Amino acid sequence: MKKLQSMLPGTLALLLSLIMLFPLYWMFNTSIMPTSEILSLNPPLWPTLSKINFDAYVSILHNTPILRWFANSLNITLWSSAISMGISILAGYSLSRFRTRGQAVMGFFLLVNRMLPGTLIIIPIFIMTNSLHLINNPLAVILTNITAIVPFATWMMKGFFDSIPVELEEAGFVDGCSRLKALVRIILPLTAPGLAATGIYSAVLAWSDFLFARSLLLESSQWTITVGTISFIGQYMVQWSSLMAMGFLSVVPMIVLFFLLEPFFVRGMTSGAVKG
Amino acid sequence: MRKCMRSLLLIVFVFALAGCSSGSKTGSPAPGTSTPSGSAETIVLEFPSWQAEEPGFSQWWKELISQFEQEHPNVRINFTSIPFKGYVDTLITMFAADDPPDIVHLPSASLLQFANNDWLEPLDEILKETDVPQTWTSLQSNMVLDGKTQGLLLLGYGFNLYYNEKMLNDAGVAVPTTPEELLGAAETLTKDGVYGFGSTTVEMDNVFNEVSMFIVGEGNPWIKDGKYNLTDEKVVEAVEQYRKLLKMSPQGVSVEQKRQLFFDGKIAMIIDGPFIYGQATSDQSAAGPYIRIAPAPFPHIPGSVSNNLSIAKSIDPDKKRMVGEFIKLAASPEWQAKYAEYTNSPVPRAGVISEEYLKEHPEMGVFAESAKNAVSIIPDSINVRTNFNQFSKTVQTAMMELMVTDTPTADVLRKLEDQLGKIVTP
Amino acid sequence: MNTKRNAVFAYGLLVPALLVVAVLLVYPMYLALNASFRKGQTSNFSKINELPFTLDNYQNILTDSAFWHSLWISIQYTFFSTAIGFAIGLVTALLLNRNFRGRRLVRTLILVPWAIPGVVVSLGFIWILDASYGIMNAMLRSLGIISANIAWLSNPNYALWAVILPTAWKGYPFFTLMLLAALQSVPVELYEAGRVDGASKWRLFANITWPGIRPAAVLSLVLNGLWAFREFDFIYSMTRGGPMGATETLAVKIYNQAFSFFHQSAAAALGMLTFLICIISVLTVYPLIKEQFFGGSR
Repeated sequence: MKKLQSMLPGTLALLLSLIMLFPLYWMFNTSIMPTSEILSLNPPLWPTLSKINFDAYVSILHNTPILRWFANSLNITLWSSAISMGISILAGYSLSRFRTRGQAVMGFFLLVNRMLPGTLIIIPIFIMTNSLHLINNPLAVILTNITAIVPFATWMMKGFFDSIPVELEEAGFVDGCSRLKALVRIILPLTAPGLAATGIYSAVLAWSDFLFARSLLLESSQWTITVGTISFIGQYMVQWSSLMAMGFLSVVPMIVLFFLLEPFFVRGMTSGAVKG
Repeated sequence: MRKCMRSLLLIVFVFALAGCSSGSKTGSPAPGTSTPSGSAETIVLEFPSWQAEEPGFSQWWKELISQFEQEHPNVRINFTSIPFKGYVDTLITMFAADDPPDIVHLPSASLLQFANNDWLEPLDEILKETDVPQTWTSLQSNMVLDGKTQGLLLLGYGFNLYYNEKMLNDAGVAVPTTPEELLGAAETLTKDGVYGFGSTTVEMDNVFNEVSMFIVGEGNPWIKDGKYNLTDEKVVEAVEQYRKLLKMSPQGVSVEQKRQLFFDGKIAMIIDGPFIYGQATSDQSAAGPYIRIAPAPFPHIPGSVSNNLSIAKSIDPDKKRMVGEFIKLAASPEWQAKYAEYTNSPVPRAGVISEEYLKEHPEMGVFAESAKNAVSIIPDSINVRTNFNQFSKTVQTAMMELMVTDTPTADVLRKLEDQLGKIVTP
Repeated sequence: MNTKRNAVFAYGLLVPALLVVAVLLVYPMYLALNASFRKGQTSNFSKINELPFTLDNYQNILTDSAFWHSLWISIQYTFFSTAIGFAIGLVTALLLNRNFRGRRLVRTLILVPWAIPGVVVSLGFIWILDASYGIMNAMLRSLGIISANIAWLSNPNYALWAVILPTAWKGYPFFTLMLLAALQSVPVELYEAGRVDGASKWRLFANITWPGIRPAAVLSLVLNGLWAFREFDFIYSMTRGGPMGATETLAVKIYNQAFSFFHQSAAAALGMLTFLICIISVLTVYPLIKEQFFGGSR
């Protein structure tokens, strides 16, 4: 009985994740089955084995520079995430450990500053990017991504820092650590789940950017994966299978990232660190 | 600590890899800025387009550009690909930032709105040096603002009836030639999970096209004597027919979904332009073998414009001249013939398609006929054309009301007339 | 520790963040603000300073019933997308907090919807929600929940739900992420102590878990809410704001003004108002959440 009970959360979690993934499964289905099969009054839940074809995937690999798109996205995502994380860790720590008035105001400013809709700021940002001669330069998108990520990532890191007791740092000061050293040596390792969460947040935001990549990177050699995916929508027709296939493929690097960062979501890092 | 170093090294390695493989960091020069190149006289023309990679069109453009560059050795055209979704938005952004492309390729629905913002250079002087004013399709009149030509039409077309021959034969239904026959056929064919006629049933641009087909196709003007003509009983009748078909159609489908359903044999008939013919009869189309075309079932052929070439106003006079030359080359008989061949579309220049080609591709004859006799579905009013999106959206909302409610058609049209009168005077 | 040195250090750490954000957003905000006070329909930013100054744009918007309608739609869209996302996120985070076989795989899979590009999600859902041939209606019919097909995207009564669904679906992993990370910080000893005292599962949650994750929950609700309020791609790809304005949020309206109607000043005014509404909303809930926001180790 106890064994059954211990299996329950895992089974429930698996079940829930499968249900939540159903739309993704359906998109995958659309990419491997002809639309005439999928679009019926009683669509088959499982793909008909005889009708499965991977033409969409083959066509993508042959006819599109998908590897170049991936490389571009990877480049932009890595730089955006790394720089954003660095900035956000410092700022989040500041908001967490210090309590000056002006600082709180600045923190609030960070939060509200990102509340303009993208469609409103795209023209001003294009003007700025153009005057800096950064059109078609990935740096432009890296910068806009950083602007998008930093405000929220700062607040996220602040929250995670908050959950680490100050006593830990103070123990470090007693031992002769400077503030920065204490931050790096003592606090950061303890906020591992927070770092992982913020890292994932940064990466996903940078990876799925479409508006800025589309507007600022105009050469097709600079296309990111999102822009490449959208190119399957034509003036009069949509290549549904290819679009779904592309959407599916574009998620793979993120899945790898989630998988790699998963061990950080393991409890046990804070408990027992401070006794008494 | 060692683990830390290892993961740090890994991160640096990945960065380096990504940095190397992403190609040149600085990318190409921005559109509109002139490139410092080897020869001080080289002119670079920026030419973004959504057709840069589209089968058929892409080939035509690239060959045209190659020929042009041969004829003008001091000019280089930078032909770049921008996805269609968001294409007009990107162009608006560039123009609004005063950094437009040199060769402007536009979906024509946006043309007059661009012109109205004083963004385009009139083409009349350039076209006077050609025979375009004499040989071009009458749909070219859609390119005119304030008596000045703002663009060269590349694709104007008439709508045709596409139907699934097998479905019609199986049900014993003849190909409709009038709106009444169309309604009857649609009703008979809607059964057992398939639909007789497909309309666009979400609020998007094509909704306007489809209702206008009925209004204009049955010989009614949108505007009569300087006022909106929507409460005329013949217009009400035409819209009533459209409404019946709308309600019979699969609900909540976009125009792209509608076309896909037709290709998959779930819809028996649609009215559409020549651009879907290739896809409709391709291997990927399940109903491909059975798809045929016929003239649109209206007394007049409704038609529209697809895309055109223009010149940006704020670029250097030298560049303007070169773009003008490029446009002239695109309009020449030789290249118009190639356009027809490569893209399987009707061309604006009359009489370039050879007899043998017509024999092999009879549908081209049908398309050419439709294009020649087409009446534009866009109201002939400068105010409407320069505020077209607002006009269209108001019409679309009213059409959705027709679809979703049972309010009498005449009432909805009367309300629409009032709304339109306030937003855009005819 | 010298307090002045502390203060300098504190501000210093914040400077990179402020720099990055300010440099790239101050100019757009200035342009938008400037444009919002200009009279006339234009799309030329270079010429916008030539237009006369006016409050007309704001006046027109605030007296237009369509604006208030859009605001209401925005509020509903934001509220339900966020609430549903939060609920799913909380349940999944609680489940994933355990150690079980295959934990690594499941924790990875549950985050996937977040990584799919928004436009792909919308286009996938227009087929799933298709009235005649969609799998959603097929499933609902076979489960006996409905007898006739629902026109998700063209029926004004259902269209808003049709766009809320993919938004919540793409948004829930963010909650899972935040809440799971927060759950990790709740010391195990507290649970052990609670269990020793004989507390029920519900008691454990209410008295130990919830207070522990409340700051993260509040933060994620605010962040996700702000994201949903500005979100535009889902709605535009699926319904374009229709049918008959049923899904026309403020974000859609802004896009239409700027890119469909070529009316940059109206779009800017609308954008400024949206911005103001965001600030007011955060300030309104601020007293309630102040403790959570600025609480923590102190």
